[in-house]
Amino acid sequence: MNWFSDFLLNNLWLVPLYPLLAFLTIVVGRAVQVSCSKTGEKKAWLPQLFAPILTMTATSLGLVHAISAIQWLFAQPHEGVVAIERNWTWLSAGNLELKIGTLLDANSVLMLTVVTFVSLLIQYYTHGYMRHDKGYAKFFGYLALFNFSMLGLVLATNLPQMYMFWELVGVSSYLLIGFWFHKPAAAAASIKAFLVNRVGDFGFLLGVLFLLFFSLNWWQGYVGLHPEQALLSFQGFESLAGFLSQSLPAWLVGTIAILIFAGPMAKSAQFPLHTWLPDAMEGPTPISALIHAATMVAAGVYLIARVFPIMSISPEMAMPYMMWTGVITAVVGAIIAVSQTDIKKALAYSTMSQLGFMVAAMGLGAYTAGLFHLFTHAFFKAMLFLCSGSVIHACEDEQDMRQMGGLFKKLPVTGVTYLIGTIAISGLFWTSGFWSKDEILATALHENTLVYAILTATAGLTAFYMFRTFFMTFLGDYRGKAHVHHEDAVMTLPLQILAIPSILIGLVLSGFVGLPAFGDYITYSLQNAPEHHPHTLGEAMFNQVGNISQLVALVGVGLSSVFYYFKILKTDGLKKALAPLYHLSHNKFYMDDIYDGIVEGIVLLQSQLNAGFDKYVIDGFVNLVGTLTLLLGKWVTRLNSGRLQTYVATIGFGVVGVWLLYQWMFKG
Amino acid sequence: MMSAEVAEVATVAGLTVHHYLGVATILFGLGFAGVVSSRHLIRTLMCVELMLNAVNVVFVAINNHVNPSDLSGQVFAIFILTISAAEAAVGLAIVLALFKNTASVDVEEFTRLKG
Repeated sequence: MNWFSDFLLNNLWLVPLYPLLAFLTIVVGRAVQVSCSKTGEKKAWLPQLFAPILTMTATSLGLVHAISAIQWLFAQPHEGVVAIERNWTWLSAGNLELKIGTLLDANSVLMLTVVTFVSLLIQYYTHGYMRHDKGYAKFFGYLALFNFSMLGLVLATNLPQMYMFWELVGVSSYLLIGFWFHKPAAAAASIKAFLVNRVGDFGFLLGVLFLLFFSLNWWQGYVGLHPEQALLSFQGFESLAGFLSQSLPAWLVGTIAILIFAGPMAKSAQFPLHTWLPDAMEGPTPISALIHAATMVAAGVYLIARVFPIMSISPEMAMPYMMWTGVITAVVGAIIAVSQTDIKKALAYSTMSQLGFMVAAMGLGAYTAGLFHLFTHAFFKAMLFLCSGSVIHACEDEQDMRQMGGLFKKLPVTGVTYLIGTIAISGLFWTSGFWSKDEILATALHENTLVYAILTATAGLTAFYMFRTFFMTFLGDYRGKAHVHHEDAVMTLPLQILAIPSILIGLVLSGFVGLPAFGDYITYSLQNAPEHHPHTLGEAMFNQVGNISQLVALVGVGLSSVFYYFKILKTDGLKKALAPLYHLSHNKFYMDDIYDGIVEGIVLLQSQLNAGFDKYVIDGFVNLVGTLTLLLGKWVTRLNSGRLQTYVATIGFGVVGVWLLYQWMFKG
Repeated sequence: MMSAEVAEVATVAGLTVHHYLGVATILFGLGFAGVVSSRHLIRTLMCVELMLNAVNVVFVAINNHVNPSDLSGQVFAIFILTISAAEAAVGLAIVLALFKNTASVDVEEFTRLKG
């Protein structure tokens, strides 16, 4: 078996290649079939059969690599994982050489596991969810494209490669949000997602270019020392950070770090660039689970982890900026989630809030806690979304929770797994969310008490709104009109599998059950950064934080049950008592209206002004020149009499005239 | 400066390059005047030939004057003769075609090229 795992670890470039091949096969196969069917009727059985098999085979092969990577990681010494980096030349211009390759270290093992495992389950689920959709085969093709982009991003060795796959991930997200493009809302949402991400990606690109500009000479020297590494390789970022903090002023380093952070702000739906994420729920539910909950939106946090050395040398600018962005996102997301009636929108805002927790953790320096939360969140949030898909499927595409209720009897497996997910995200009873969230909270208490208080309150709010969705959907009486179907076995199997890590993964990797803690492997790359995990902070403090957060979460659950289960208090009263807050929440903090206002009031007005300037001033000048030339030409044509003698005479006397002029000017 | 040299290279008959150039200039001027003033197309063509031959005279005279051992001027003159023969043939063909179509060889009538 040894040679086999060696092969798997040394050929990680195969991991993104499998789904790419699956994608190309499906796309080309579809095109061939469509062009071959002369009558226009598409005999779809061939892609129907092969597309899911191809895609799931590709993902399974990736999962085999991931499992051997986990074995490799556990065999490494705790304080010094020796990463495996392989590079191939991508493009070279002069002495600038960009490379593309695969980097295997603790971070990429983490993401590789999440992406392949969750992807495989969701692809299986998709078979149940999309079986009757016309675009079934195409959907699997896009899923494979997404997997290719995401795995390329995860395994990227350097920043330019990551940027390329980052954009590819954005494209596949765009394609999948707009999968039902005949729905105007879905088409608009896909465009919105793409445009909002462009704003962030522009900042990201600027950051990468600035970083390259200020450190190119240093890098070339560094790559010269380590020939196996690429330009802007993540492995060299720690040394780069040392160089930058000495050679550049603090404000410049901070600016570069914040520019790079603009990418994660858009991709991980951080305030104020979060508006695309709730709209992205127009896409099919498996996509919401895979891309907009578990993997792609977490890519932003992953990027922060990769460039963390650059962030950490700007403790005055970039780190507080990140921290407060995360805190505001967590709070805003949680507040908006409370008033949402669409089950997927509520989950989307909860995702935004949890991403805020992760980014806040990064900003606090709790690098491992942020990644740990990313890891656990991927499992339970993917499960929650898949549960919502199962509910929506059973209720004949009804998404409004006011039209649900009492679904527990009809959908027992979905109900139980949804409850598990709700408990996990609320951080109750030592489920996975408890461990990761409390590591963040413990760091916050250690670093900044205000942030700790805000985040703990937000955690309570999380329990409140998550149990609200549970009560409204699964308990009480059924309020809808649609006939409720039974749940589909193909769709409930992934739920049951995902429930296991949702409960246990936090405990297993917490460091309290004898196994090595999650943070032990991750911290290897951060000798300079402060380490924050339960061991360094002390068990007593961790217990205290854990007890407080569980208590707050229980209060949230209790309040939620008072309003939505026992109905002792009417929500109308609450709405009146907290009218300003309710309006703020119900209208999503008016962010969409603000953007509309900005676009209509400033951008469109400005563009009309520019159009007027272009039309009357620029075009006017150009047209004036044209008209003048035309008039001059008309006047000159009168000389063109058509008489040969006149022409000849003009030429002859003209030559003599030129000669005389020459004589007069240069000889005379 | 030029005239001093020219005086030394006088030929047996006492003719200097100046005489040749003078003749060529007069010939060219006559041709030019003919082209400008004549209304008959055939005459115009003949005048063009006159101008070409004036140039030939200049070529040969200057070549003899500057570097008598070299014959490039004469070669040029031969070329010009050849080309002028071709040009005359084409020109006459055009005149013929014009005459067939318009029954006229009056240059003043052909003003359709005006802008």
